[in-house]
Amino acid sequence: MKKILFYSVLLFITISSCKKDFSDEFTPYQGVAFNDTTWTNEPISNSFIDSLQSQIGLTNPFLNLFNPSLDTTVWLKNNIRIKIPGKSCVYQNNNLNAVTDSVQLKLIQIRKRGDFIRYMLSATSSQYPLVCASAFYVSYTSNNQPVSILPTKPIIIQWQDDDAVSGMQYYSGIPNSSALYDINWQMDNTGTVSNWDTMMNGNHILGYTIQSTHSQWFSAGAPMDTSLGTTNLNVVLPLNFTNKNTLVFAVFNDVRSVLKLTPSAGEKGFYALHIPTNANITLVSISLINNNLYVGTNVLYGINAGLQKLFPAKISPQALNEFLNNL
Amino acid sequence: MTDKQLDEFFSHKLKNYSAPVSPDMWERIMAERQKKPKAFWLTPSQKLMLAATFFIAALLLGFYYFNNTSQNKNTIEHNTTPIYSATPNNGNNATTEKDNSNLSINKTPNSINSSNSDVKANSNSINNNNIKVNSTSIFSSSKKSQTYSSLNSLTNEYKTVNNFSNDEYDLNTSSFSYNRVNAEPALKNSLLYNTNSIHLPPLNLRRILGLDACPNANGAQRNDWYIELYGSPDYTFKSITANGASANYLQKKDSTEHLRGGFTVGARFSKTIGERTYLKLGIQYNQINELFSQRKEDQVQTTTVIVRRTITTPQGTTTTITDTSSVTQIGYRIIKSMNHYKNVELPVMLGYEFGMPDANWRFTVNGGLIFGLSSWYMGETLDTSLQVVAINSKSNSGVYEHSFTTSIYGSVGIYRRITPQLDVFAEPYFRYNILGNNSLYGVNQRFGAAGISLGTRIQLNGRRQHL
Repeated sequence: MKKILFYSVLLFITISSCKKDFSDEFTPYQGVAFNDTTWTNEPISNSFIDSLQSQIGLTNPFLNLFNPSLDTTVWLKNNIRIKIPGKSCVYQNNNLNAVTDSVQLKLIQIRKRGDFIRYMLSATSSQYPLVCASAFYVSYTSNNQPVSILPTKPIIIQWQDDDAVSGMQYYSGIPNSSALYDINWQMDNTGTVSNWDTMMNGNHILGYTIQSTHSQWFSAGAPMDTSLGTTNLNVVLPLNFTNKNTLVFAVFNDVRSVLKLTPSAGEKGFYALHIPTNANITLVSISLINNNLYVGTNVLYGINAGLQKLFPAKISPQALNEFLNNL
Repeated sequence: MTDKQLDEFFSHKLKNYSAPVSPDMWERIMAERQKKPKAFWLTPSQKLMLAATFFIAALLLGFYYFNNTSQNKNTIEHNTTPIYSATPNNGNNATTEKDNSNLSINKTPNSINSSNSDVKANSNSINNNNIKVNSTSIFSSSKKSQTYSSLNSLTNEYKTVNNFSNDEYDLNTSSFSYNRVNAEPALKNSLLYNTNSIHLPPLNLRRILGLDACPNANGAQRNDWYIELYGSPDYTFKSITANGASANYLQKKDSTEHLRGGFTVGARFSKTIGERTYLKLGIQYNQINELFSQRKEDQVQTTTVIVRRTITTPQGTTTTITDTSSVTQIGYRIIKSMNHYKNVELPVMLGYEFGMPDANWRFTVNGGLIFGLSSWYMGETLDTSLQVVAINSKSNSGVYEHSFTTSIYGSVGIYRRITPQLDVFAEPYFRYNILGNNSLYGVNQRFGAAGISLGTRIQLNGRRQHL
């Protein structure tokens, strides 16, 4: 019995010593953002947004100086016309004083799905998804002073849209925070949206006209059809992708709408509410870690309340821009 | 036309003539120069092996020769009785007779007077009263009281035994005292020659080489065979030299490979040559362990993790879901593996023993060569692009060239007698590979080791042999 025990121990030692012939020890770097898997309860930082947008490369806004005393009409590319009535500009600090000095107009138009992502916008009104024909960001300044438009003299923006549909309404963007991208679309009476159509060179051309006295964000939109029911959309990613370095969007393939999903630190995921169950969605995550861009995509045909997963992969800024242009 | 005129004619005609040279003449010359001889072309390692083989063969032949010679000379086999022989070896064996009388020796440097009844010595006397000798006892030319002018004849057969009691022969006197003072000059004069021949005496190589220690008075010499079983933990070291590799590669290789000792086990036969010299020959297994450790930066490791997530349903209730997710981390990786270099070797060495053969404590010094018979290895190393590659001599990924390795060996041994047939020993030693192994990546590496062999020595026989 002792012999058996002895040889058993000897055999065990031999085998166990053989196993020690190879070892592979991995030690994570400390202080590296990629290894940080913690979530935060704070909104995503402006510096992250700035870094991400600088990587993506935003389109330059349209800038134009005009005489506020006269009616002004500006034609932009993509068949956009802006009419600014004369004597409609007043200083925000004192609405009684009309602006007589030249005014600088800054205008950004968001029409493509990719542009919503570039500007981190979400077509939602109180977490209900909207169909958005177009969104605009308009600001006026004179002598470095912010300028407002008189409620009685709204500016008019007309643009061509071959997919124009009726029923669009005016939404103004109400900032949730000081961040440019963090807004909630709210239907109000500071503007109107109407359709237009005309014949030009024998072609039937469609488009929208929006009248607005609102500065900053406003849009032409409509609540998304949810008649077939809604559900929640829950998206998770590998643990390296947190709300400190990642944004997740739901891009609707059948209608013009992009939702930015809300991060949940408790669930370590992103979610959106009131999503039509019959929606066809492309989930897109964009992450910026250590100056490297990562993109994850997943196409969903019909939504359920389960977990949807994204597996981001590294991508170059050029490839990401190309991807956004084709959404 | 005379020969001179003919020479001048050709000389004149051919003075400005130049024979055309084949365009490929130089290439053929170079090819001839580079061609290796068809026979007896050896690489340096093979030359060394050949030399070593000759060395071993010479040792063995010499050993055989000396053994044979001594056996031929001692045609009279003693089973041993105290014998004093002063007989010149003239082809006839000495006269033998029983002699129970007193024995004394009268020995001077130039003459020996020997009598069967009374041998007088000037200063040296051997008193041996009532020595009873069986029929095999031999006393040479004792009756005739021969005087031998040849001192060499005496000294060659002059044996010293300090103690020659032998029960078989019933010696009444067990003590045989002998003062060697006057015998020394004679012995010294006979160091170079065998004196047993009536012809020109041949050189006595045993004595020249110092292999012939003072014989016993009874003419016997150690003829011991031992087997030694030993094992040793080894402290190993390695030197690597560039053989085409870059300095950066050498540095990286050196920083990733760290020797972790080794061990040696083996068995060897040990045969006495003379009284104190040993020839040792055996076989041993040697293993050198080497830790291959490499730190790789910017490594990515993805780990699968199970995450419990709580999600909210459209109805507002919460559900916990177990989700299989992953986490990827960036860091550094330290890869460690153990390389093994294994060798089967043939140690060949000579040893010299200090201390009396029967003493409890004895010391030896040994030196020799260790020849590699077979070697194999497995593990990992860096290639020239500093990537980790597996090495295995038994597969296609062999990196080191197969070559016969040779190491020099030196040791000092301490022996402790346990029983008359069994010793234990400890033998600190040092060895170093004098050739090394070339790798495919332009590196020559040589291993060395220092260790202490611990083992036992078992005596296989214990008889003494007469010269």
